[in-house]
Amino acid sequence: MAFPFKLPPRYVYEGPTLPGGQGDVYVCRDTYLNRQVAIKVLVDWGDTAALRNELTAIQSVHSRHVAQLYDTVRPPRGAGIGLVQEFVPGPTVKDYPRGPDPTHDFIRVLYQMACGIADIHKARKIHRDIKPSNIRLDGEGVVKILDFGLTSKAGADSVTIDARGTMCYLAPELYATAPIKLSPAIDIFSFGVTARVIAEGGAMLPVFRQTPPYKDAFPSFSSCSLTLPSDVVALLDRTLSVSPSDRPLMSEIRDLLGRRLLYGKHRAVVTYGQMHELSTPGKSISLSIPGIGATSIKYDGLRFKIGSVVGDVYINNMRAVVGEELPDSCVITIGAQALGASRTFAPFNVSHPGVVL
Amino acid sequence: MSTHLLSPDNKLIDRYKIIRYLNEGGMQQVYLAEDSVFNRQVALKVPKTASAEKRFERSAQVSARITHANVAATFDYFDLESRGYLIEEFIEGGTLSERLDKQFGLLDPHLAAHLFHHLSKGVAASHRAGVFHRDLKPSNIMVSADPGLTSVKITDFGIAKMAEEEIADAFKDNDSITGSQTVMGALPYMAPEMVLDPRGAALPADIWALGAILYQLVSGNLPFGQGLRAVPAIVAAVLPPQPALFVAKDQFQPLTGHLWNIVMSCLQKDPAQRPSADGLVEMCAKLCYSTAERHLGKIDSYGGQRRGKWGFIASDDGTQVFFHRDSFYGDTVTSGARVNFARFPGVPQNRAFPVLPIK
Repeated sequence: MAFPFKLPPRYVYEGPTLPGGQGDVYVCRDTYLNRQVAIKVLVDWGDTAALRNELTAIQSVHSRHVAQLYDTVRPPRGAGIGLVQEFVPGPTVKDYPRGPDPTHDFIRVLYQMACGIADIHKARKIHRDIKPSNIRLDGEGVVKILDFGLTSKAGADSVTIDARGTMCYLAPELYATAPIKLSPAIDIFSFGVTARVIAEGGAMLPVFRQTPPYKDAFPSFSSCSLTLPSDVVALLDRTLSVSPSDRPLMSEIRDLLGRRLLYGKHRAVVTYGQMHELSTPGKSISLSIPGIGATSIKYDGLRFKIGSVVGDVYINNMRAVVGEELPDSCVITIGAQALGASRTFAPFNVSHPGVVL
Repeated sequence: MSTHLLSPDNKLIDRYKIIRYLNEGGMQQVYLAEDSVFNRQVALKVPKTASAEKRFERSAQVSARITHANVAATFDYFDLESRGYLIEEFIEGGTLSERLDKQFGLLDPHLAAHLFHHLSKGVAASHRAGVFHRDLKPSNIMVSADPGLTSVKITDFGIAKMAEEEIADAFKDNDSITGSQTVMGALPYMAPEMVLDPRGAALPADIWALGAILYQLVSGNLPFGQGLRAVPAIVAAVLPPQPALFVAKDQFQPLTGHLWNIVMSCLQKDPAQRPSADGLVEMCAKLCYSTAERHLGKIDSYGGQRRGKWGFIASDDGTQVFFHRDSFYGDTVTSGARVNFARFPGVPQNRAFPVLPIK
């Protein structure tokens, strides 16, 4: 399919043409910079003030997981506009590379999607068309969210008269009669369906093809062929809640998945006589001053928690309580305040590998 | 001091309005501009001499090949009255070189590890795209304005190819070395093979430069010194001593030891002995460091209590934060000194770790 209008000489259509939500996407060459770009053509944009707002809004999203915008092209006459964007060459997220640890790979992909959508929501925007074909991997394997231009500002007055988006990924509230109140929760639902589809493939889609009120419940992520940790299952199940207010925030999903990526990779160093390291999930470390106090710290793979307390033990001057999480940097003090400088002070510092994608 | 090619309020191709002059390198001037199509601020780069135009266009195409979060994105390129203009992503916060001069003398090991991890990722992405930077140095690295330097972007990928010719010319004749701004700026980070044969150097020279930058970040000093005096030390690869603070500060181990191993592996005289950029990324992925949010403040009181090993920071947000001398990454704690720190819950005050003295 040729480009729908005469392009300025800078851009040459090379193909292919990819179907997009609100308009097709044409892969072209930018002859000035000699690189491929994706030009998304929006045919129904005539009002330039609204368009300018939209363009300003799109670029206000700062995220390493959202494709860059470079330029715009317009037809010689008539309405419509082409958005010149970063071309993301990789496969769609459904075909992300699977390594020896499929659960970790899945969480890593989901975490990046969650980062991108959380960045969009932080800029008070709603994507409105989250689905596997709108999420691709770039040459470095970084997840990029595409097909902006369908987005809407999030806010109290966001209503829509048409349920744009893609069947199967549409949140149930979008089937209501107009005007429909839009909220970021519609992206959370689409994220949940996308997560399910990339975990299980298209076989999952029929159950999502139902329209509300749903006769069959959506299956729990616990029935996934991947063995997911129970906190991840619980959170992902909530993304498919019928009521928008029961769905978690994208930032909550991002934070949990980010913590899960570091499972078993934290390293705590306690200086107590000499340096002791605690970095194996399930292991503990004990500190004891006979006759004064003792405590143990346990690593559960995600957090360091107080395992036991005998006598006077303080964490950053707060009385130690069994089961409580230690701050990532603190001083463990053994001995009552009255003992002054003769108390035992053990600095405790947690670090972890950086999640740099 | 050359004159500015553009003045504020110049509008180019009816799209980019000059806001102000930012800085210049040996080859080009950089301006802050407003992109009226997307209503965003961008960096506009223009070569100082029109004769460099063809090479400038090629260098723009080279940098446009790399799309990575740790490499400044190439947005646009155009010709106007026989000069080329390159539009790049702009981040508020300036270059790492400016920040080291004006704000940080050096970085604590955690902040340095964060910065270095991102740099390695950016260089690895460019090497995979077949792009050799040739001129990695703090003035070619952009960092965000926040105290945690969250965003890190390498720039001037293509420009360095232009610099190569100037460097090669300069080394033919000793007098023109000191006259070349490009060479003098690049020299402290230049690999031995680059000094000996600028045209013969390849990707491992970028790894050497990363090692030299990491050394500077954690010690506050250039590993081989400045100017022509650095040349014999670089050529012989006489390795610098381990930073004194690495040895003195227990609480920063074992991170300091791992960072030191990275510096040593990058500053190998034989290019083949250095890790590849991907290898460096793997080493960084194993580094354990803290990414807790950073804050700014000043030392409010120190050493007044009993034997004086601790004190308080007046955070710029109005809170008081406790700190211990052992968490301080510097030589002497002085009341009133500005600090950069992370903080953790405590009673009656939160507790800071690490505490980095800044300017």
